[in-house]
Amino acid sequence: MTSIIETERLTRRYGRTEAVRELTLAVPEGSIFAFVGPNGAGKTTTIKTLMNILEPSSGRASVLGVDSRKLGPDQLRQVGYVSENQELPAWMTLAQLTAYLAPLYPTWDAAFAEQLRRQLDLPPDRKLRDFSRGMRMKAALLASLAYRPRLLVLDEPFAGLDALIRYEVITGILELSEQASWSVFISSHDIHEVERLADWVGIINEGRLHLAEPVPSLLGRFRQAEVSFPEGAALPARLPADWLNTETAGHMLRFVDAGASGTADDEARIRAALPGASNVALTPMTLEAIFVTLARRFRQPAPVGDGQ
Amino acid sequence: MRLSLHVAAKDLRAHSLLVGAWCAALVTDLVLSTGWAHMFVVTWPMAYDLKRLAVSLLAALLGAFVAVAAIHTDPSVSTTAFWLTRPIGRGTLLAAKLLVVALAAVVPALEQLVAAAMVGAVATDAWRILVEALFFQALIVLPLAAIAAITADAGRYALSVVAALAALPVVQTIVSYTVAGRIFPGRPVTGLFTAAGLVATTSLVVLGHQLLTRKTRRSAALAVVSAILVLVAFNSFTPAGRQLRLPAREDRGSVLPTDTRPEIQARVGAGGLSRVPAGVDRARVLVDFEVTGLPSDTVAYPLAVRASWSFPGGPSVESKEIGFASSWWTEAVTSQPLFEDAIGRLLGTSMLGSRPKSLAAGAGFELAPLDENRGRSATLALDVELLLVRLREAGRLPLQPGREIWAGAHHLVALRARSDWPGVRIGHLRPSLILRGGMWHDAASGLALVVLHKSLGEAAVAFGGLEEFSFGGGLSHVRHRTLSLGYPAQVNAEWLSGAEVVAVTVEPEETIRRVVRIEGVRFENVRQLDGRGL
Repeated sequence: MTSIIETERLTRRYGRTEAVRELTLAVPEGSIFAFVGPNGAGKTTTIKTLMNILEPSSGRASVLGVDSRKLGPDQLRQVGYVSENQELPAWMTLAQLTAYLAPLYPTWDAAFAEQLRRQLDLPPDRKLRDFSRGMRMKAALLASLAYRPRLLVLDEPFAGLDALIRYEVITGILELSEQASWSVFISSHDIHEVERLADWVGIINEGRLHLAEPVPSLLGRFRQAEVSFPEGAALPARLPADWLNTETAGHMLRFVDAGASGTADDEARIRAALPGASNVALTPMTLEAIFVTLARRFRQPAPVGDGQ
Repeated sequence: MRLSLHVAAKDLRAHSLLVGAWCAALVTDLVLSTGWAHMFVVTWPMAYDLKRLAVSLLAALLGAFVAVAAIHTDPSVSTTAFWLTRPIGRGTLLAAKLLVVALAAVVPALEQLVAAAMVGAVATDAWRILVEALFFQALIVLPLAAIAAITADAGRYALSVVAALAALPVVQTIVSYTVAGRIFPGRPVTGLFTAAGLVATTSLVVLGHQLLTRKTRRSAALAVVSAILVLVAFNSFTPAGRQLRLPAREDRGSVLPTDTRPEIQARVGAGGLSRVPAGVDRARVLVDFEVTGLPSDTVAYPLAVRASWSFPGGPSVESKEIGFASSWWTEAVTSQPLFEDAIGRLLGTSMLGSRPKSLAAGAGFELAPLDENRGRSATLALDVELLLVRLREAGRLPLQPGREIWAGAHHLVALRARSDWPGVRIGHLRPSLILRGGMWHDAASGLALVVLHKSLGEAAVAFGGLEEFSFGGGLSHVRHRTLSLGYPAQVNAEWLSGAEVVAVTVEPEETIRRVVRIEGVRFENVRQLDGRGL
């Protein structure tokens, strides 16, 4: 499987602050990769480095097989980029924006642009400065889709959007994904926003990538575990490292098992680690629940370890 | 190139209001520059001049702001700019921005050309007008565009321009008293064009570097270093900052009659030695020159003097600064008794040129070595370069409103004559400023204007009546000028009714260079002006 985005020990510093630390990542071509992490985790810096807006301090990154430092017009014709931080030419109307962009892209599809405009319900003759935040984001999306990019990079595209517009944008991307063979790299601080979209997930915190794997694998690997003990039984001094967020309540131990396989072996493994366990219940988790678990873990002093 | 044009067109559309205001200013300037405005001038001359100046400056600045705004439309400093993730190469963007910068320089030049054509400028002057206007507009646009390239928005831009304007005099002062003389000690004057060329070149380098690399700190450092280099060069090549020197003219023989033997005598002048300015350990020796052996219609003007003060057995102190007493030598020309004397001879009136007929020049030295050799007899050697200019009467303009004459490439219109201030007012349509005379030998000449009462044989010096030889007004080749009448004639209404304006062309012919030695100069011999004992 080829990678449309690759980074190797990518580091980006602002003065003494390391915004991205030795990030190694591979985004498979054709995937919709959700790049998730709390605010300030390093998502935007990573994306700006990938897009050659910022230069890496060390390490390397490549996009479409080209070193990010050398990313030029040939590559950017195949990349769509939408960011909450991007400044659109506010003095233009949507029609002027598309007229300006069309000559820049040999693959610009005017009919498709018009179809998108109708689908996203955008007025063509109103200046972008008069658009609401959600409309501007949809306009940016239109301006990044109309040439059918090979890679679509979305940096916090849903920030500040109301539920309806978020739904429309997600639906639009999903519909297009069914039609187009493209890759999507989407960052968000809220995994719930991208849960419907993603088939791969990467989680970043404080500039470090903590995991990056396919969604089915991730969903299979994490289980909410509840274990009962007989009265008077003692817990082992050391619990396995992939048991996260352990809590005890009375005769009950609750934790997230990050090393599950989704088979009966999981229960046997837990019983082996807790010889006195009387009852073991394992429940599948949602992507959002996994993210919350990991986010809570990030706040604790000890790191979760390399989950890759 | 197609994409660059596409981006440049987008930039102009983005700032259509600014572009519109610029075009309006240019059209207004064009209207005011032509003869159409004469009627207005007669009724309201002062307001006209102010408006004319304001509109010219406005047109120039608005053009520069169009370029600045175009650069800020796609800022290279930003990390959120729209263009960064679009398939616009950095070279393409640079070309697009340079197109707008070029437009901001070329359009006003074309406007000047059209204005000149409308007032009857001859075709041979067209290229001079074009190049001159381009030159001045580029000097305004390029540095402002370079600063725009390294700032993200209008607010930061304004701060940077203010900071630059505040810092330049400080750096200029430091450079002029420290670095410049040491890097290029005793270099002759080579012209303001050197510094101006450096301004343009370094501005382009900063602009290009920033747009091609987006390394703003390096570009800003480059801008600072460039500014210092420009000032060093400016101070080194043009010590007085504003002197010109004729290029070599081996291609032409001397225009002086073969029996002419110009000679120069010099003496330490009445001004003596002074420290300039207070607090700086520099001394300036003022030397009076007399030039003899010139034809009656030829006047010598000082260009440069390099001096050394040699004590027997050493040391020899080279001048740190060179230049003549009046650094802006057109001022020297205006008040130059020699010049008046020559005009008086030319016009057959003895009322001009009654004052002393010497030139004064200054040479700057470090004070300390002179102070250490106080009282010792020394030789002051002066390497003097003079420009010889020839005067010719080009035409006479009767002082009746509406009368007009052509004097070479100059169109003069009589507008108003009053014995009290503002004196005689004329419309003077001049097709070119810098690209003539001192710079190109075949160019049009400077023009002196004298008010002459022929029947009485009296003349009144017309202050403001002499055209600048070089970098004058800058943005305007068309002027309405007031000639304030001074000595020696007693001017009144009756006198004016019989007077006329005589246009005298002032053509630079060639330079001569002589070394003059003044023996027996002692430090005590000279007067010290600031009160410190010497």
